[in-house]
Amino acid sequence: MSLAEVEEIRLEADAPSGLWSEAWYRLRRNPTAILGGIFVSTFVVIAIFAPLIAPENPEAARPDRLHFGTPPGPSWDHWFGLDLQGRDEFSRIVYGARYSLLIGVVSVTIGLTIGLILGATAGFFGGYADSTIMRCMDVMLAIPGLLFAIGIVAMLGAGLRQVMIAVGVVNIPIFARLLRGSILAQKENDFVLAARSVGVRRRIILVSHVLPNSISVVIVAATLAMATAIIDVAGLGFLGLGPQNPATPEWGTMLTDVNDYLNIAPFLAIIPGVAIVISVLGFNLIGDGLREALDPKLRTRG
Amino acid sequence: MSSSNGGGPLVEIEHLKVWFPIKSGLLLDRHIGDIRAVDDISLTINRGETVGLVGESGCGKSTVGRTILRLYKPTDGRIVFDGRDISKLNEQEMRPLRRRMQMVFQDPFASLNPRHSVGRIVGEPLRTHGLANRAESAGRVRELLQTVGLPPDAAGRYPHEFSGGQRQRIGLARALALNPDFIVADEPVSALDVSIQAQIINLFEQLQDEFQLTYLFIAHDLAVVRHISDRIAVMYLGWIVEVSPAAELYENPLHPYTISLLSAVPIPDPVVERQRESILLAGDLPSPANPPAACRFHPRCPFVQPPRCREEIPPLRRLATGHEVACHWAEDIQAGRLRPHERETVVVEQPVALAPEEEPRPV
Repeated sequence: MSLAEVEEIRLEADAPSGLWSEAWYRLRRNPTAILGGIFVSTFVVIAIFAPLIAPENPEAARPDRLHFGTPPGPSWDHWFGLDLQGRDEFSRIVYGARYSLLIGVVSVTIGLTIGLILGATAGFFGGYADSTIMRCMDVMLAIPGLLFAIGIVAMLGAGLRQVMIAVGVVNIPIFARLLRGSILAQKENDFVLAARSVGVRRRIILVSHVLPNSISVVIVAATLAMATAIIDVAGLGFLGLGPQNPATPEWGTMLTDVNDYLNIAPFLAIIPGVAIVISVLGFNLIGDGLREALDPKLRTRG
Repeated sequence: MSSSNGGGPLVEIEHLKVWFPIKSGLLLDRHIGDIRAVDDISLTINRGETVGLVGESGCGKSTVGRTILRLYKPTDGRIVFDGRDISKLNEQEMRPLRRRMQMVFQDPFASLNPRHSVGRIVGEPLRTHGLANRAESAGRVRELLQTVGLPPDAAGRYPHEFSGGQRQRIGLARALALNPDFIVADEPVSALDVSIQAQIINLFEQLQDEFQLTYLFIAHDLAVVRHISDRIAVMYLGWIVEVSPAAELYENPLHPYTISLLSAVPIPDPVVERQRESILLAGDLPSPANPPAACRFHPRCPFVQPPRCREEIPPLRRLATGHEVACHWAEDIQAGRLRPHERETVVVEQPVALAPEEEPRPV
């Protein structure tokens, strides 16, 4: 067997066939996506195993550990120092990851589900359904996201659950528009026409031809929306609309608490801030990597 | 597949019109006009025949093909398939008929779903019509792939792993899956390299012999159409301006549009090429939303004879040679009595005796 033949066989074994496996193959070769993956998986692992990782209870106040009312900075015993109530900041950050992950997943799921249903209906059926749905989405998009979320929370009352709903609702029009546009583009594809000329039913065309090809942009957007959801929730928490129990270790709320103590304990603001930045950055990097990996224009042809 | 009526043409189009509405408006769409993609054409396609449909892009030739398959709704007119008027059937009623008519697309990259394996693509028609279970379908797919000259193990691969020509073969395998009688080939080779074009055209011809297929072969390349077609229809701006047996059209074009099209085809003989006169058309294709009055070709026609060309619609009329043409002056142009404006000669080699009586098409 010649070297060329061996080479050919190896190439064939390497070359992934399906679109998803090919996307995965490309994602693994993208260093920024890998970095994002490391950030996000660290974040997820910390969130899931918080009780095992955190050395202390994040909510029990220990004012006795403060030095004359001033929280001590990072030390060997308390890596991130103590907060204003004498609680271990590291434990609070670890538990905070739980809240952020929960908030991100729940609010994106809310936005995604409703947005996809509306977008698919509008895109595939067109006509009056399309005009009605999309005009409503336009109205929602006309209001700045955070302001809209504040309005919703004001209506529902402050609290973690309400914040998640608010951020989810803000995401609805984004996903609806995106999916609608993508479906409209895919509907014009020759393979959809080919399916129609074969006699495939409309419902099956939507499910097996149009949606699978439209969904990749939505996956990218959902990853990026996770990042914005975390920021938005932290923002709402910072404004005091988040969890009403001040002991709750939510990153945004933690930032609010230390607002007045920046000069004596700046680390209490920096540390949750860095945690937010890293988790958001992780999702952004993965999102960008996915966008590149799923881009059909970059796919190898023939 | 069953051919029900036996005799008679397979496809008959009568006064077909396909207009696409132009809509505009903020909240409620107002109907402000129509794109007259296809405007009152009639065409007959006989069993086992290949009819070539040529014209420049935007003339409505693809729309004709797609409307025959009822992928578009005809605005007016009749489409008769094997003796049955299908122009008003709904999706449900069309479904059984789709087994008998299929389509091959121009762009071999867009016409195959990139997320489906070749086996799934070629097997889709079988599953849709409940003709085969999973195992039977796999066997039939392998058979079809071999028929179109692909290795049977291509079934497990994905479209992007194939070249343009191979993908066009996959598209043909899909079209053949249901054993159709009639295939609309919408510029099936214009996206391919010239060397591959010949292979695919030969495959089309070979399959026609093997499965007794009838083709409507849409193209803008006159050389390709000449090779494969029995008869050729020339379209201009939603009209059929000339229909003729293939050889006759090339030897003896009658409509000014066809004459100028053919004069633009290069001849691979430098002596002839240097001597002949090419007729360049002035201007662009007018908008099908607002077509010129009367003869649609008159603003660009090198033989235009006002005022008749501007005032009277030229019907498609049959001449003695079996040639159909939609021009008032076909005989005069033929006999050399009319010359293109601002140009000296048009090479018309063999004058053919034309029928003295005109036989206007019923409008």
